[in-house]
Amino acid sequence: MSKLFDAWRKYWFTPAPLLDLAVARITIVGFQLWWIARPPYHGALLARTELSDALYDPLPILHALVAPVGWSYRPGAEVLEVVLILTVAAGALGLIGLFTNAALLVFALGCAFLQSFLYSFGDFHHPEAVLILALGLLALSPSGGALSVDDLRRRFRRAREAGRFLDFDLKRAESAFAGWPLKVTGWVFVLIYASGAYFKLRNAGIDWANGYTLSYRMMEDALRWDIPLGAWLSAHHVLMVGLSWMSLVFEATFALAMLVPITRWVFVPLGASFHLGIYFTMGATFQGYVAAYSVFVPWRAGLERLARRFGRPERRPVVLYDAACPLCVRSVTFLRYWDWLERLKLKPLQEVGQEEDLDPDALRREMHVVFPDGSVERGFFGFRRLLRELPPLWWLRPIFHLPGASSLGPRIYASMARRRRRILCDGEGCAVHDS
Amino acid sequence: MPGFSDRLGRWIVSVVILVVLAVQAIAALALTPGPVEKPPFLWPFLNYPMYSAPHYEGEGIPRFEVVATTSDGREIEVTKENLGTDFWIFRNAFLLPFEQQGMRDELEPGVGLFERRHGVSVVEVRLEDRPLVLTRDGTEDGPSEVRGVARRTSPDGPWEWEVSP
Repeated sequence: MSKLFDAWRKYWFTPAPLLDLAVARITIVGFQLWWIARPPYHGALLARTELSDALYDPLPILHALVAPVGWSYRPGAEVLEVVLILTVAAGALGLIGLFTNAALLVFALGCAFLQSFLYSFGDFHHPEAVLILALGLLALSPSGGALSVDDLRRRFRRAREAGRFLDFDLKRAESAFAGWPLKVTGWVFVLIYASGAYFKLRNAGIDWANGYTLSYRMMEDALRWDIPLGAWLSAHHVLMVGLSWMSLVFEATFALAMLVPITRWVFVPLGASFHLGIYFTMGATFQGYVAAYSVFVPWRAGLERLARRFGRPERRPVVLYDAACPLCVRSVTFLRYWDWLERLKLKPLQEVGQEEDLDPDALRREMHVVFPDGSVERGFFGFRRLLRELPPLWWLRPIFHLPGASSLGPRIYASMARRRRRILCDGEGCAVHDS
Repeated sequence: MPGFSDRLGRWIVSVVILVVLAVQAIAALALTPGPVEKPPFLWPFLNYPMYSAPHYEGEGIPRFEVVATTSDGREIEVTKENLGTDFWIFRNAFLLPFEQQGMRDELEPGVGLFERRHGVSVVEVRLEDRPLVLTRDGTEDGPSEVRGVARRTSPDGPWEWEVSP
């Protein structure tokens, strides 16, 4: 029995990368947030409020969610709009990772409430179910343990408590609770696909792959949603037979993606193509599955590979910072947070030797960056040039090169540097600095 | 050696894992009994039987048209657009009642919605089908037929159904 417990603990609770869990959080929450924030979603909610009570048949989960105000309570337009706004706000917090777990719990419940309301008029569909389940699992996990405002604040706080910059590598952060939500979501996918294969084989046997079955469904949906591509493809019998077999084999063998992880290199791209294909040919909105496939991707391993290939250069830009100033420590913590390819060297100015020919007063006034070509950039311009080395922050580069940025940026930087001395450096570290 | 909170966390998470996977497995293979059998009962835990029925060469792919006859004798096509709703609500209200006897009560609220939107009184609803027939080389037009008619003698009267098998 203890062997069974050990195996269980080893499978579900072996320390796993927080980065993988965080990327899954961002893709799943990002997709779901986009989905519910679209105007058609809002429109669908409002349209249902106009339907008569005779059509209203709440799902059990909706009964449970509205139970505090009455078991058979039917929410009106105002209530739905308030819930939608709160859910979107919670999703935005969950996406950036601020108060992550609480935000995700509200987001998951809000999405379940809204979607179950949409499905309480005699009709329901499948695309959202796995995403709602995954959101619930993410809410119960340390999914804000990386790539989140929460994590960044935690690192700031630890550095402040330690009174110095604490170096780290985001990719190496692990938790015993980081693997299970990804694995459970993966197994839910296995059960979903197994269900699809089971019903096809039970109801049709291998006749399901006769080509006419898929042709019928594709043409039916193409007519319903006015999709010319689906209508055109459905007329190609041999292609329909091939795609039918592929779908059946894919669904029946998807468990391999969990049991033999290397097969994910086949299953994940195939599944993504499969779901995008049925969207473009049949209008079936399973794109969310593609976002949820992020649970199968070894993001950390991929980043490690990228770091080996493009990062860790022999001669790196050296960021000289004032180790005695909390704001400076916070700034380099921020830089290291996005330095996934390990392209920066962070060095306290207190360790700068006289042979480096840098003015100590200037070093204390603003951050200096010494680039491998020997050039030195200061303050705003140093930060702007550093962005080249930090792919996750590349989106900031156009903003930092907008017209006027070269004159406005240094002023903002100088203003922050002044505040640093006055407000932020009144602790022990800054006492040293000011003296 | 993990601390108490760590061990408690693992126990709680283990229960969550077991419940999620067990309920999903039960739903996926439709192993649920009695009133739970209706798939959305356990939503978001679902089974996935869609598109599982087989089809063969020579079968017709339905192309439905719903026509409402008003009390003043006018005929108006009912579409999801002029009903102001999506396809699924339209299907439940106007297509499924002709296919499933258990769904016939859904016609009345659908007709009511149509009447309110158009300021008319409907006395007859007719479902016509202009199918496409499956062939190895694609589809071809099949013969049109009236699949069913629901009519009532007065605006508030009961519906009488004539449905072709």
